[in-house]
Amino acid sequence: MTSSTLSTQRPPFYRDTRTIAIMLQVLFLLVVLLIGWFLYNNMVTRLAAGNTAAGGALSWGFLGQTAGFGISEGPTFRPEESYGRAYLVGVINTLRVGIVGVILATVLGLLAGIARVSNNWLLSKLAMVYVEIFRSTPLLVQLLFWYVGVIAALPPIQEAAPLGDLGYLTNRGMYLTWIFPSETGRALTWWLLGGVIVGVMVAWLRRRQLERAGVPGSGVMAGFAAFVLVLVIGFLVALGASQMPTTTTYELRRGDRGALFEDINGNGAFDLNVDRPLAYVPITLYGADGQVVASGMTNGDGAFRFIDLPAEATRLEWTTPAPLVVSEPQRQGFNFSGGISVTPEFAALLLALVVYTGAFIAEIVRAGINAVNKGQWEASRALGLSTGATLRMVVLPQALRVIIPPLTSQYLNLVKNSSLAIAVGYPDLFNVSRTIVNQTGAEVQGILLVMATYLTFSLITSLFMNWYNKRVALVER
Amino acid sequence: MAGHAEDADIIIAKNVNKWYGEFHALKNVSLTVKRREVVVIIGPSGSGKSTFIRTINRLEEHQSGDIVVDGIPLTRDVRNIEAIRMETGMVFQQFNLFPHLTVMQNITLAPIHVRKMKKQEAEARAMQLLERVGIPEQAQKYPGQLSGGQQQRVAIARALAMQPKIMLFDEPTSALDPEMIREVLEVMEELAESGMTMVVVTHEMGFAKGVADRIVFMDSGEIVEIGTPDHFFTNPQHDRTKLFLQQILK
Repeated sequence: MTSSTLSTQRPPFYRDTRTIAIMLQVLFLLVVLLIGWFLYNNMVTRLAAGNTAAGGALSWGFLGQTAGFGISEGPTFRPEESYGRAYLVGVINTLRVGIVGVILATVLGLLAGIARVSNNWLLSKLAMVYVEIFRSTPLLVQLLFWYVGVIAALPPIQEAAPLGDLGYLTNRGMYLTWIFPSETGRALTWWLLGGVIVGVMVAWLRRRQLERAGVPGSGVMAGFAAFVLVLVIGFLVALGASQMPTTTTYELRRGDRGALFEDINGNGAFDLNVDRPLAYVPITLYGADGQVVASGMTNGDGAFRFIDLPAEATRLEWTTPAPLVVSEPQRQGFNFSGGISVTPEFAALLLALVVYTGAFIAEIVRAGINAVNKGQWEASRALGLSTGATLRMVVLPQALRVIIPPLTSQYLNLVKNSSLAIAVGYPDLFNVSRTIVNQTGAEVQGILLVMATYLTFSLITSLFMNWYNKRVALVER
Repeated sequence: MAGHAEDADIIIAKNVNKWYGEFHALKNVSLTVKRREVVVIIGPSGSGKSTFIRTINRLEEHQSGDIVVDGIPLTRDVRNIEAIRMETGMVFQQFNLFPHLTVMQNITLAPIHVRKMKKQEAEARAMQLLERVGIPEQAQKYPGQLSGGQQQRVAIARALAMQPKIMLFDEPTSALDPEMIREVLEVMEELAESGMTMVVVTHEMGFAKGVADRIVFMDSGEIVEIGTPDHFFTNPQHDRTKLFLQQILK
């Protein structure tokens, strides 16, 4: 009889489903650990055998050594600073192109995705052509296309025509009019940071308050208002307290260049890392006969330089600037001074990443819109809402649920693809890490550092997007 | 009242034809609905009932024939279409509530954004409508948290919030569990008593008998027969009507 052979007793461990599940997992873990140990052991042995400037196996001491190379853009970096700081500059450059790229790619993708589902035949076909072209060609090829084919074809600096008051487009980069905090507005950076923190807190509190009251809604408006309020207060405080340091001194060399700085050690000369340069201060240069020979503004490093002066200057006067100043790019010989400049490398990389990722985002947006039930369109149109209002208030908020998870992947792709910067020489973290590795031989450390950094970026992005996805999820039951 | 509002006929459909590709979905459909009248359209599935009612507010485009709603001719002119949509409320089989908005936001969305009503006024009116359909306590819930019957009552309140002159019902009880049909029909009966002009596509013969002023029987894209409920159920003229009634009243 069957019933007699199948016992109700506790089964032997090798037939117990629970122990089988645990044993399989333990086995899997053992295999993984074994492979990992083998790889690690292999690497350490090879590293010990090798002789690199980085020292022994997996030593991180090289990060403190002097770099000895310059970095073409990003935060100020001097060759006498350390490898560690060089890497940090690379990280910031990656973040610069990554954050701006994610924002622009989202806007482009959203517009192209909506155009793709529109009833306007021409618009929809144009969007289709855009998506198909840029989705189907390699990113590296596109990057070189923008760099060599588009940006290098812009006029040279000598021939660049101004774009109104906005700035100049040249084959050496874009030079744009920009607003900077001046010497008296130094604290504004902190106010900005404080504004963001206060804004986020107010938004969070407002949302909690709304939730308690049982009213749906977001705290974004309240948070934004708090942010703006903090900034305005910061500006007014800076304006009220605006004063130049009492020990302001200047250095004037060769009658046309020099620096304006706070003479902290009181020796009358500018000492790097001791004296503090004064940024964006209006200055006037006077010649030996008391005539004005030039006027302008110091740059972000407190330095100034004039070209083709009618006479050599011997004296300088400065005035107290407003906390925020507008700086326009001005042609000076073979270059521009003032304003903000965007290098051809940054522009090409940003363009390539935005246009390429935008094509993928467009497809995601299209899929999201198509995923919304046709009945939602009908109900909204039957109520008299226009197509645009229907899209904005009914369809897109629901499409977001479908859009966000694949959109997260595209954001991660954009940040990771920014490592192609090395092809055009933009000093992102990967590019800088290669230079470091070439000089120190710390190959393994370099790769580990780069991987850990990208992993950190990706995890932070994923966490944020998952949180956002939960927020827009539909309430059921 | 405006000039055209004096007319007794609020919906005039004349020789309306519609094709889906080769398929002739509506064949010379002509129907006139008077103010305050309740017209119930019945017929087997695929007979064109829903298609016809959806041409009235241009959710479906008809290829020939004329439709005039409250004096506004239904043309390709966007302004005419939007004017007609503001005059007609529609209730769907699948409710089609906006799942990302609360009940209150569902009801106030169109009054605020189309009629440019103040938010407070729109919300006050929405509460009145929710009381009218019997679920004021659900105002801050999301559609996914409500039963089918409650959702359909919200959908009716949402359509009424635009103060329409005509209400179109496209099989409003077909997607409901049996125990919830009653609560929706009661709301519709109350609406009919209040004098609303209604065109209702339904399979609820009880509702048709009790509430309809006229019953329209459609089959294969044509109107076969129009009559009062008494006449229609006791003395149908056409064989197709008789066959249909036999099948459903067995």
